[in-house]
Amino acid sequence: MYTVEYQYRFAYRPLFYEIEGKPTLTEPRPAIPVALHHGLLKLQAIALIDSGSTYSLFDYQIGKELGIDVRSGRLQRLSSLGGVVLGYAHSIELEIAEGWRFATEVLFSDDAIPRNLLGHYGFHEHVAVGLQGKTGQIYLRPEN
Amino acid sequence: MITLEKLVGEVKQLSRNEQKHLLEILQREVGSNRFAKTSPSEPRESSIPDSFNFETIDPELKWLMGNGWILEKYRGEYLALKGDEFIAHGTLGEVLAESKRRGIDHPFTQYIPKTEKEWLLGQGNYPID
Repeated sequence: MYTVEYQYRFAYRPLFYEIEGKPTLTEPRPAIPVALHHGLLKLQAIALIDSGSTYSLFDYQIGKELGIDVRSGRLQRLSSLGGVVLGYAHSIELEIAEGWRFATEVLFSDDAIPRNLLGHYGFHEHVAVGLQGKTGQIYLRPEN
Repeated sequence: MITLEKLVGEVKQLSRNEQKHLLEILQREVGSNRFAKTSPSEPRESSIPDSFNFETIDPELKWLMGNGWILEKYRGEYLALKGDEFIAHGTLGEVLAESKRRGIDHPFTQYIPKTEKEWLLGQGNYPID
């Protein structure tokens, strides 16, 4: 028997997308509100916890609003379900909840993307995650 | 002849369980056509998983579901919403600026990709070199 204690809980939420041109909602997914900090600038966004993603990836327009010169970062080419994406690595601080914020490196996309993603690098390496799909609950705690 | 008024009156006389059963039947029958769009210009159905309780969905998502015309009109743009109010479209910077001008600090934003395939851009990513 293994026991893990979590400090924070969030609810799954449906996400908007389209199928064959029709507006559609996904089944509730593990997506959470986060805040990205860079210098004195801060921007809130909804991000999907995507354990299948190697990198945490945010839309380049978020980087731009944070005052980041997105293309000045280290280039990383990615394959994804929607095709190839170019990402540029930048150091930011990610705030998960009030009083819980950590320095990390995430990618900002070269072209716009509709979904911000919390992947292994940038998120899972810092955060322990428990998902209860049946009840739609997300449990998180800092990974020391 | 059955009228809606008469039907509603009869439904009210059903037991709670019978009303629930009727609701389930109606939900199955109506299925994905439940949510009509509001723009007359581009008819478009919307769909939502049957497991949802529509009452608990954020008002911004409800608005998007009821206004499928935005998918064609605002491709490649961000939308900003607050509740069921459509605030602005444009770049993220533009919609945030307009929201702020209206006194809304944290609007709901959604980027509408240029093509349907792009909804999956970035998901399940892994490095290729």
